[in-house]
Amino acid sequence: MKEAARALVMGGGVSGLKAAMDLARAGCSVFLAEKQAVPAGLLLGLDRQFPSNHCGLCRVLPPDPSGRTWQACMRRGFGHPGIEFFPGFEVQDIQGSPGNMSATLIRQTLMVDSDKCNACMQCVEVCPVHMPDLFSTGQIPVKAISRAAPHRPPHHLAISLEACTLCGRCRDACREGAIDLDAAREEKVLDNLDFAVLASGVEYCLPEVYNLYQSAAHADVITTLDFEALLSSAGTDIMRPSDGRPVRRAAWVQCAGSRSLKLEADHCSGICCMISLKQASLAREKDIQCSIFYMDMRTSGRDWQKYLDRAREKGVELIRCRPHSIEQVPEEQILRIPHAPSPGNQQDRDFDLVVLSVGRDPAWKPPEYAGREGVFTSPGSRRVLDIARSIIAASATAATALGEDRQESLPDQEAKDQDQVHSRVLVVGAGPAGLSAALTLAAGNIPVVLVEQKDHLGGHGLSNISPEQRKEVQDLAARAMEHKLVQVYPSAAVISCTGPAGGFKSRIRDSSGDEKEILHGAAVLATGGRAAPVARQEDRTADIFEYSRRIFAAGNSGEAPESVIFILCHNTRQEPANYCSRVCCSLALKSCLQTLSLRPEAEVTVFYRDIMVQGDDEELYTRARSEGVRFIPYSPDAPPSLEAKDGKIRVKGSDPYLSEESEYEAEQLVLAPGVVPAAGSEMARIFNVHSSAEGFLCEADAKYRPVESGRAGIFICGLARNPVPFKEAVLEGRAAAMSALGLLKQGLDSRLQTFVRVKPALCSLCGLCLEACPFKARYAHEETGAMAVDPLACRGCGACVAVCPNKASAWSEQLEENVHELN
Amino acid sequence: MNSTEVLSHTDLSGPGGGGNPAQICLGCGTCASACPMTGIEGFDPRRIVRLGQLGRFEELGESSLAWLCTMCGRCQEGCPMDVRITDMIREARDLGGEKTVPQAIGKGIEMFMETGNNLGLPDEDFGFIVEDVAEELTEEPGFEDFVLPVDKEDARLLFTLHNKLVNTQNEDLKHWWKILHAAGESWTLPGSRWEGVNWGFFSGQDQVLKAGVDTIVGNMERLRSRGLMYPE
Repeated sequence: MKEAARALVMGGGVSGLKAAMDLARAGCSVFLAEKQAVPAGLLLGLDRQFPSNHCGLCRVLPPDPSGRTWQACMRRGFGHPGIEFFPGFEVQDIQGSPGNMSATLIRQTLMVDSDKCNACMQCVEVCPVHMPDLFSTGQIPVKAISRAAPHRPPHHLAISLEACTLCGRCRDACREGAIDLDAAREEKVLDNLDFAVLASGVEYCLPEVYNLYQSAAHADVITTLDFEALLSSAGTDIMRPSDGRPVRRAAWVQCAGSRSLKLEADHCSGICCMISLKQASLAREKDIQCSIFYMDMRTSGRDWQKYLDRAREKGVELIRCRPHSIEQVPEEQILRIPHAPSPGNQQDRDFDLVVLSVGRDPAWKPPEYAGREGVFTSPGSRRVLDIARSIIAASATAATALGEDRQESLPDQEAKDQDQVHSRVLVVGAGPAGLSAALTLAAGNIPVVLVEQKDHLGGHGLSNISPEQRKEVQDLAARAMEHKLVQVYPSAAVISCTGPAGGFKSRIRDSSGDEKEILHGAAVLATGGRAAPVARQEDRTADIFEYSRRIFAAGNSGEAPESVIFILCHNTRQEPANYCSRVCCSLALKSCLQTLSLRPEAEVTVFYRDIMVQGDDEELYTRARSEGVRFIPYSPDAPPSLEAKDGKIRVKGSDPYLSEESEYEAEQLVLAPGVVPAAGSEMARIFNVHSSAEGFLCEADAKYRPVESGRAGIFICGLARNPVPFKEAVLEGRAAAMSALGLLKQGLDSRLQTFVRVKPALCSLCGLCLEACPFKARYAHEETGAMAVDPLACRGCGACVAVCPNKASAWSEQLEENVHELN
Repeated sequence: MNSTEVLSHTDLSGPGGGGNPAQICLGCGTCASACPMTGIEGFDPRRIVRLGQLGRFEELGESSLAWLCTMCGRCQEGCPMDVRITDMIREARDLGGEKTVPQAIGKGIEMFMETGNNLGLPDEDFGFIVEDVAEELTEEPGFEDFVLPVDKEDARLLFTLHNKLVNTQNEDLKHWWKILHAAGESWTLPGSRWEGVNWGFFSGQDQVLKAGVDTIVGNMERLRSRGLMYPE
């Protein structure tokens, strides 16, 4: 076996940290370069994240057997035994080919020697360079030499080399000799790299560059990133930047720098709607009047529509209109936004502060080396992703990199079960997510048992309208069938799963009723979803999935109806199915375009609530409009009404732009009822994991542990977890596999290293520890009844240690030292 | 210079025919937020664009909706989808036909096409008015040597007029001429076809718009002026 792969991860934000930790857990030697002095990237300035409105960055950390990273706040620093961290360095170039790559790192941030520094701040005093501050919207004056991050101690200073002129005044002022400016030109070269993962994210749009809303002229027009600083504990209170007066009325303006052909920004950044909703919700808590100006409120995903409803309940006002300009009313020190929320109705609204909701810089491009062989670019470094999707994408990218590296260099070798840990993983469901998970695990030499209810593999992937994606699924299915390490059980279902992580016992039953017991260390649940049922099924009505399959089936020689009406969000995004299914809008837009391509004179009408396309899929919406599809917004209080008459479908709806009620006739009606989890809450019951009211499997932490269930060793992905399009289902499958793989690898190594031990002589078998453990890591031994700890599930929280009346639950010896150290 | 170069045309082919520039409208409301007329008699640029999307241009031209627009162009300047809203309104006005053109504009256009100015003012009377104003100006201190340059060849600037300056507000002419005189500018006033206002722009009639531009371009060519000034 070859030595551990040497991997470079570029970017120390949440994506880079996740990729680096996953690779380290999988046994790689990892180098992590981050241009700032501290890790966490954008999250350094983002204290509170939806849906909990708290920070939870530390939750991304795995329980580390050495005890060195657990329960550490990553804004303060980062240490990991398997990762060599290069803070202050950015990768300038990458040369060579996979297996023998070399990377040149240059300094971007110079750290002051914190062992010498006594925080006298003379250096800051004498520094002549002022610069914009990441943390306080420029309200706290910052010099080129300043605190590395507000969360760091005062003697942790750093110099931004982007701003620094190397004048030397700080060095001369320092009496401790803590500043070594010669190191500013320091370069590092990392050789013999097997591969690199690019996870440095994207650049955000700066409104003054594009002269958006004359923001440069108005001090009180800021961006959502600036507003984070106002909300942040590291920043100031919510005061107006211009005069420091408290903000009473604030507005958010969505799509600043995006969804515009004028700016050559025909994209949606995907996260800004949620960010504004969060900020407005938090501002409501400070009794600020909050209004959000929007076009489509893109609450796309399992939980976000409900978050929007909560924001509304808190009094956040949503105004559907994109403002043209922000006017300053000087004598009153206010910002006025003229807008027209409904046709023919123009109003002025006054605000103390206006927040531009910005996303990706329209001109941003990934670095040149992003496309090079051996450089794996996380999707989060191509477009803006929220935290959970960044983490999933980073894990999946690490998995892909690792898989490709392994395929070339490692022989297929069946790992043996060791001690009580079974290295096998049970994967339930063989759609795009399940297949991706199974093959990722197999590439990591983990044997897989793949259980699929149908008699063939591929799931919904086989009926995908894209020939490329169908082919991708067929290839995955073929590879799973052939792979030595993947044991496939078609026409079978899991009926029970007991035991702790590392030692699960599951029963599967095949179609003839035969049962079989499987021992496995972890499980990946990927049971997929299906179209929500449509209540009315007249002849000329189809759901979006049927219609898209039909219209794409014959390629360019198919037939299309002469008129078709789409009704999106049909009985969904409202109780009891109050979520956006994410796949319908883009499928509808593709179907509109295909209809027009088959029959250019066809009349295509779409009734919609909010068009939910994200990223570059915005182009689909733009194209559909420019090719003549008519889009009519409706409100859920007044949905279009349907009737079938004389072989035609009639839809009555009102066109708000014309303020007229119209009747539309069409040959074909297409409804988009959304998707539901295929297995519903049944999977949750069998595997003893949480599920949402709608039956989607729920993760341990919506942001930082998105593919882990609350039960250690059980991972969840794809449509079973949340509505996702094909590509994301694949990423989730890989990410879930990567987490399972990490857990098993770490589990195998951590036999001797547990957080908590049980002293049997002191134990009274009272069982309090079983109840106290939030991670289901404590259990009674099946035969002896003795209290035990599942080392894979234990996260070292100490709840059992605290609750034990007999001091029988105790910290491991090594950890005890750490606990004292922390105290 | 060819006057047709400054005209822009909107493709009015309907849905399915491709190229209807209104179709790309996002319904975002930037235009309506910008428009000084939004809300007046129910006016909203989004309504106009919607009718345009649906190919209902004639209906638009015949309704009063299209005539409420002041052609300021703020909507078009702000539109993130580059929908040429004001151009579309011009086209719609034109399609509505002469009978829909408001009387004041219609009358002015008729006069312009007949006489070269919207008032139907004979050149003689025009000459009398401007010379009279010029004479008054020479009575003011510092402008004793002011001479009105009419039909002067090879001047740098051609100075056209809004017809109100020779109608109700001829005092305002003096302010402009003072500036030009003090700056030592080389300029000239055309003795005939001096109209600077182009109501063809508002009526949507391209042939009138062209005639108006031709008038100015003709004067510039005739007098070999290099620049154009239109005080409003």
